[in-house]
Amino acid sequence: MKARLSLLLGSLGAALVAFALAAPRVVAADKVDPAADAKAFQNFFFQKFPNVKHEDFVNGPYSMNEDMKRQWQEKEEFPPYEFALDAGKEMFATPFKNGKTYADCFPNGGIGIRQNYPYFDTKEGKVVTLELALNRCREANGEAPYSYVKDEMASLTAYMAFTSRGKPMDIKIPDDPRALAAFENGKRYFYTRRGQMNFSCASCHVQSPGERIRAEILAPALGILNAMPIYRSEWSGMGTTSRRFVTCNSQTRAVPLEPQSDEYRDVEYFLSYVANGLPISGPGARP
Amino acid sequence: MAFVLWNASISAIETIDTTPRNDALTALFRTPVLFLLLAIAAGLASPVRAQTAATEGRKLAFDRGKGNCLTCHVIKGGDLPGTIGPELKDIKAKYPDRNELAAIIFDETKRNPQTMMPPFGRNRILTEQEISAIVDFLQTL
Repeated sequence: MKARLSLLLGSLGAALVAFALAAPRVVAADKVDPAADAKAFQNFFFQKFPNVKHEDFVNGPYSMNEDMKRQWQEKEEFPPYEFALDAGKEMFATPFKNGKTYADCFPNGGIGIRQNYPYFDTKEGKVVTLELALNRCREANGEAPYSYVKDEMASLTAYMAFTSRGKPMDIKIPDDPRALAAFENGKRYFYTRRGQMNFSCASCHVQSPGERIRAEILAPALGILNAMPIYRSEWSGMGTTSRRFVTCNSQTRAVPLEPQSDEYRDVEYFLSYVANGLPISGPGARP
Repeated sequence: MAFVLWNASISAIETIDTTPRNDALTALFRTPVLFLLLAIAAGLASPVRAQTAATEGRKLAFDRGKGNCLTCHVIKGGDLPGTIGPELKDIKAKYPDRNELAAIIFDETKRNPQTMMPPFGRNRILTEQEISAIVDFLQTL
């Protein structure tokens, strides 16, 4: 009897302990936990590609294949984004008609700050990307905004990225439910299948990085934005993060969103945050 | 990540897919004369038709705007194949039932929700006839 009682008590105690241990985990699974997400995201890639140096993931398809990496390193001697970079540097230094410059709009005069974009603006309650901040700067100074996808915008972001090369991505999620919601929304967009081909962003860039579609090697999602903007041979020119999202959508026969729409901004927030710690490598060159 | 698998349109299109096929079957059995005539016609035409269908299927399979199978699969005779899917060979041995093959092309997410393979039939990338022609082609591999 006594033995049975102690057995009963013992198992009850064990159940309580198990419950106590399990309970916080259940709570955590329901909660949005960007830090845990980022860790899991990075570990997934680090384990899938144990031979790729962590800081190399920001080089996209070139991190996945030795031959391509060699070709790319040769190409970097005369990088195809150099014209855009030079143009961006000049544009950045040229004052607006009112005499002010881009430097007046950004912390640290806009130099070496790429790794902090996008950020969550707690006043506006939304994600602000570097491209958006650049056009807002122009408009605040009486200048017409640029196209978000290429040309001048890509030149300006190329220069700003270049001054930030090597700095680890450092995206903050402030203690604001709207910031968590933006992160979660970007994550949802990233993993949701859409379009006639029924692909999510993750289908190609999480499930299949390193694989080839025809002759092209799929880039890993980890660090994919650290290289922006990029010169793409396929585009015969430069393209911004916006351009990348739009072409990904249209190539998989999904309906692209407007550049800098809330959802794209949220995807950029999610993807940049989970790449925290990896160096800025932009501007980049891709096939 | 359950939302990856969400697709509300699956059930609606499933209905569209199965209805005409059943109708056609019952219609055939109900009208034995027509069935007989069709059988004779099929008997006469089938080798030639299967061959042209296989040629047509090959074209569709290699066409970037249609099947575009080469994007992910190695196929004999095709340039620059991708690596995502398995090589398409010995198909007749692997899939003796052509309906199974057609079902994979129509919507592989039914069998494997995580698949990369686009649901060519469900999402109307290919018609049933086009899928059938591609099956004819695949059976020659």
